[in-house]
Amino acid sequence: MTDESQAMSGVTDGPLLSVENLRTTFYTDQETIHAVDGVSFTVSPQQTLGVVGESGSGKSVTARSILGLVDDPGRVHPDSEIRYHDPAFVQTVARTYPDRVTWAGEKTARSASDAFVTIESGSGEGSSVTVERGSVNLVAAPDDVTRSLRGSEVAMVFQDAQTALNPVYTVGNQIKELLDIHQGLSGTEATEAAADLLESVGIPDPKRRLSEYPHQFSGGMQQRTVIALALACDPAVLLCDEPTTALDVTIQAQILELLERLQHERNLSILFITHDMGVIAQVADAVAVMYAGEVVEQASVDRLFDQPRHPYTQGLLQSIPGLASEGDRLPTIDGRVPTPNEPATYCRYAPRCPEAFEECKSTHPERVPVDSANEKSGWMRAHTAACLLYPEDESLEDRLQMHHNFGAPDESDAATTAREDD
Amino acid sequence: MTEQNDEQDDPLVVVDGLRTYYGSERLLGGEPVKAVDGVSFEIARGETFGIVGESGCGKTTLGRSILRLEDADSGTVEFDGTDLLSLGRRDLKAWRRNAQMVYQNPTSSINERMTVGRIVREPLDIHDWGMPHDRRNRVSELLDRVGLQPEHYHRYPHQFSGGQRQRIGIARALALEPDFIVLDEPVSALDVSVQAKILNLLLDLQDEYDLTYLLIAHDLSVVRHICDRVGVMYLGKLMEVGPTEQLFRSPSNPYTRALLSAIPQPDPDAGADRITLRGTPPSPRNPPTGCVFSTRCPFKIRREEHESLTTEQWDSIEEFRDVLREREKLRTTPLQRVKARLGREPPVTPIEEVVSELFELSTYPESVQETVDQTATLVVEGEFTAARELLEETFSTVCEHERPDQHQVADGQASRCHRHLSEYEEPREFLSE
Repeated sequence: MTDESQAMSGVTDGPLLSVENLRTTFYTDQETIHAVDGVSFTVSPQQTLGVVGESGSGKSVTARSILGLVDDPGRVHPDSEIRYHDPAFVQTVARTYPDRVTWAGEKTARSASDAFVTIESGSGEGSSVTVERGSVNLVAAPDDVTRSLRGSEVAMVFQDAQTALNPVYTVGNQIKELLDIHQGLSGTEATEAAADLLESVGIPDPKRRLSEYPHQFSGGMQQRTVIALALACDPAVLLCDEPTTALDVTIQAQILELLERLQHERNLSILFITHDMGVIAQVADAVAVMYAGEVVEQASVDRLFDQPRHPYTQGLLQSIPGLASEGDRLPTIDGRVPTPNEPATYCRYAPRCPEAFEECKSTHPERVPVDSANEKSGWMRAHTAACLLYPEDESLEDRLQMHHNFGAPDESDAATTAREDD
Repeated sequence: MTEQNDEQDDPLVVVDGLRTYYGSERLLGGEPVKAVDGVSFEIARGETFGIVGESGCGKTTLGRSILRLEDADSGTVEFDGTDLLSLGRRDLKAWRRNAQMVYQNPTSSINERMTVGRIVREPLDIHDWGMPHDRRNRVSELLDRVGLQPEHYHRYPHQFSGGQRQRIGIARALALEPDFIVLDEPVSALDVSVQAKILNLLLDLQDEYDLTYLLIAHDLSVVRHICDRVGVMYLGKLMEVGPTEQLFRSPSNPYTRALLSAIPQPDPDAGADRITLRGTPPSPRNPPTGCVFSTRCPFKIRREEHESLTTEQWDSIEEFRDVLREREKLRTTPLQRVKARLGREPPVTPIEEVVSELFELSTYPESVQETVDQTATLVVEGEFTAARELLEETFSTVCEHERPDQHQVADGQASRCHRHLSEYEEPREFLSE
């Protein structure tokens, strides 16, 4: 668990994975759905970022966008940025694509116009460049870069273990296939490695299990197997998409414990997607709350549960049975999550919000610090909310002005502004 | 919430020793699946009784058996003094007006090809409720009551969200003004904010129509919110029954304790004293002898000579026993035995590796180490049954020999566990050590 100071140290180390203004849109004949609409967050090394929201809020699409798994008719907007910051990976990519490297700070001479690798500090040139700090923008990167990242740097644990595993191959087969593709292992070597993997996710008697089919496994063991598959190529980031939703509480507790142990053993950074506030409280260091394709509030886990600021987060926390005193009616949120099928020029939560006022219908709230004390402590990591009520110590007029200003470049030319900020 | 009823009021539903077994599908017999295995409880009028448990524990079968949607093998279910299990077809149909069910999955429990109006109207038609032209009004009234619009009458289910579909299911259940409704996981497929609305609706309806609920759920926070009394089920058995608040505040049964401690609390500072259970529930086709929870119980009674072992050491022993049980199972069918004879067994981790993995981390008393080594030798020789029996002889106690009785542990609270006997430590005391 992180307190504020640890969160700050994450800033100096830099994130491992950062998402900036991610927009994933699905174009169908009837309508255009902005499933993910301007989402930004960072995942720090060896930390867990929890992403929480109701169904349809865009959580899973966010994760799939990171891995480049969004299929037609979905498209990740080219101005979005998904950056992976591992120096070794960046260096490999920079050496493979020397003409698509840009150096932070000196844009003119050595930058290519279609660059997707950014080097912040390093030395050398061309294919012998060394990178100390930098990043790769996966949205602009060619497919084979994304492919080399998938599995060996960033891996995904899917929600439904039963459908994530292939029912006609043995578990051993499926793990060995991965080991063969990514690490070139085969034969006894692969069997040993596969057994070790199963053992590391807490499956007893692993060699016997390798020759069994997924249907012979219980739900908990299937989920363990899916985690083993994700770990097969030793990734640094694990994207967990509702990994425990289909499981019973006692099994869920086992899986959460396993993920915690693996995180320590393998220094994993985890993006944990769930709709369960209880699970979030247990696993996350920082939390991003999503609503209708947007992150409406982000804070460290302690702050979010102690002082939720966005009206949506407040409503969500209140409607959990068990927190309200027994026998009372549960406080509810009226209406339901809208389908984000038009550009956000207003607050998408306003129709359900108990605190909405006139301007909520005409001004799109941007992510701002909840108060100015927060602003000083580096605003991306601190407590932010996308709501016109904040920063709460400013007057209404100033707040509106602020949200307008933040929003303005979005409409004109987001691409150039974002690039220049780098 | 309703108060406990006066004493002169009989309970509405009395379930006694109910057993529902599913027959074996194998050609050569075999054990039946003991989905519900001797469950007894009462539900008072106007009460909400909750059944909680993990998937596969038999809670849905229990609910269906009470409504006679499944045929029970033995036991009795009395509803308002009538023995349901002996009702003939005609009587059963007449009785079904009194009892309805709301199903778990709002997408599969209503017919996509029927309009909402026809869905809600169907029970009225079947039971010849009133005059046909009254039925239409009744349906509109019901739709309005559950928070839908009368103009939804002609729409189809796919035009509705999950929460609205569940409202349709509730309207259908209410149509014949039943006294008793079995709610089978009514909100588990819904988002939290929608869940809250459905739960509120159910509470309102209960007040308005004096309904009695049997709520089946795996989500303990939902149960805590709306139930008056709760029963905790594990592998076909009711492990503990008691008033909700009392049971949540001071659970007696080891399983209840483990289950409650596994709920993730929406509070980052909570959750220090979690009990994580090993493994998964055993198959109900072949439940453990003695207490059904004995293979996973962290509070299991040990023999005197093993009491000094640490929790980790004891867990290793239990895990070793699990492995052997599984290995033995691999040789249960004739085909598997023939294959084993021919040396065509599936590859397994060599037993020495298993032993060293489990036992090398700490030093065990000599007698324990000796037994483990002996067992390993037996396994190498292929004597799986002997190996398992040796471990059983050495480590098993009353928990594995005898079925625990139900013990009254507090006012209205009863639990099935050997630890409630005076000669053993109570689970509570055992934990505090």
